[in-house]
Amino acid sequence: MADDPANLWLARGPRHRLPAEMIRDHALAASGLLVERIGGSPVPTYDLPESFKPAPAGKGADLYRRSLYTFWRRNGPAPVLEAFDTPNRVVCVARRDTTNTPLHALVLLNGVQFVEAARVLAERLLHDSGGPGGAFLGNAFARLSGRAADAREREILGRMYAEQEQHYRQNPADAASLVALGDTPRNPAIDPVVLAAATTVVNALMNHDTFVVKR
Amino acid sequence: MNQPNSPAPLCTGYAPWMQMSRRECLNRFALGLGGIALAELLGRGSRLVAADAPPTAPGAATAAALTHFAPKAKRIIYLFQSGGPSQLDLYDYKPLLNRQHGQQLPDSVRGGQRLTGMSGNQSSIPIAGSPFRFAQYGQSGAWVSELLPHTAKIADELCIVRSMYTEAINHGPGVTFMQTGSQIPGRPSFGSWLDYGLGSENENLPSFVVLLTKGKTGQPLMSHLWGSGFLPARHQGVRFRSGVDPVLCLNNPAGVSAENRRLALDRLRELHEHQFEGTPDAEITTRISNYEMAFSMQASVPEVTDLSREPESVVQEYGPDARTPGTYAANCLLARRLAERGVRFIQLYHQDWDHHGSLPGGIRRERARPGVGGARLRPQAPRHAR
Repeated sequence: MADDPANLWLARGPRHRLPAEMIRDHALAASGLLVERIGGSPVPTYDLPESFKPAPAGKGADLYRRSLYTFWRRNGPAPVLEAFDTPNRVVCVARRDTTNTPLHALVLLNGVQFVEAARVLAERLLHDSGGPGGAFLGNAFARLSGRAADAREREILGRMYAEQEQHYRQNPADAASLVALGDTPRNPAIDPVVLAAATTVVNALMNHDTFVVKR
Repeated sequence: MNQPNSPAPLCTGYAPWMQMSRRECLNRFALGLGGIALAELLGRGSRLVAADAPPTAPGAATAAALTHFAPKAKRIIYLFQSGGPSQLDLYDYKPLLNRQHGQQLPDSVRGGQRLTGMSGNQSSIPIAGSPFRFAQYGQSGAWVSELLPHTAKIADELCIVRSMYTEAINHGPGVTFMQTGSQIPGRPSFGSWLDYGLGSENENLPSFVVLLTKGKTGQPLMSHLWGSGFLPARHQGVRFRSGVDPVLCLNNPAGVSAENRRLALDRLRELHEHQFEGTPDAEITTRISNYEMAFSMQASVPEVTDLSREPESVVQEYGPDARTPGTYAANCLLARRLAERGVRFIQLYHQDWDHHGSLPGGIRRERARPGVGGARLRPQAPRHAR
């Protein structure tokens, strides 16, 4: 009150979970996978074989178009988008639901689209940061959350990376499987153990509040 | 609300202690469903009050005061035969139809009702009796046709309601009405109301699960049939798939073990707890608990959907198809396993009952599928009831 009697510093904006399309596009854009071409036919995605009316999964550039272009069959939207409350277009909706359910966690942690995006972003950041030390963790956090990590967050992320690298050092076959996911080939110049550990950290950040909620 | 001083006689008009008539009571409590919800809410902390519960049990007095019968139901398995099996050939014995077989339908019956596209161009509209033999079963003397020999054995455990109808002339609005109470999509479905009112009994599983028979044609089923309408979307039914992943993205990606996932989630939890300190938003605590639920579901869902753990004797009662994921028999067995684990509302859809002119063959084919009619589900329930 004493510092700001006229409330000049007071500001607020609505905070809400990002809509389905933005969450997917956010992952694609952050990783650099996003294909920015405008227009054209709807494209199949990774999750279409799981949809209400199953269809073959997409491949190549189709997988990385904006969610605006995702193939949509009548009232059966793509399952990943449906998991994040895309309306099924049976009735007009004036406002979308924004839920917060365990099903979201499973999609963001396990969905190929997100695991692959995490791995590709990890490759870029490892390349730009010159390895997993130094600026890597801070850059990953900033890239996905839009703000700098504080000291406590850097400490947690550092511990997380160390645990993951130790785990994958002991399980190199698991590391090789994880980094092979997705249609985009991995960067062979990066040690799969380091890449797997970095992928896990980046994917965890895609599950963090700051990634899915606009604050 | 006042307690009754003496038991009120059934089937009277206005009941002063209840401050409503029986008819109003039924209307208000949606034929018992609302009563279950209310009794649960009032008797929270105790389970639903069994008929033989001592009158001092928490909630018992309240529940008894609200309904004539203390609610006993804990879970619902709803077997929806989509397309509409012909009741005239299964439960609803109509000897007059057989006597007048082949005669023209009198105008007094049709009453000027419009015809569907299926029958509108028929040159004549004859009465068709059922070609199947009927007999009475059980102490209730329920009429059941020869098509349902297994169901006939449990005639006394069934409640057959013959007064249900919809005003829709086509399947889509009719099914929507059956599931949501309105022909027009947008209302919450049966199970989502229960989830909204009662919440979950099992922290490791969703409380409203939907199962569809795999690979069936016939009338389309739309996800709004198990949708939550205007209720929050978390109350919508969770449709289990019949493939490798019963829940979307349930399995860890290749190269991620459960132990390693646990390790990563522990760190994510630390990040969230730290985030909550600076941003005290309940959405963050919900997020933390959701990641725990997701991790639990990764273990609980495969366990409940793994029918290989059922003893062979039980599987045989559901028929040989019960070992094939996605069949109606397998879904009936799965429904029982979900109910045993406290899932409140399990909705099964079995399609392909829309027979019309091919009825005699089609109805024989569908009822011959092992498990159809749910008769095999029923005898299992008491043995495993908790």
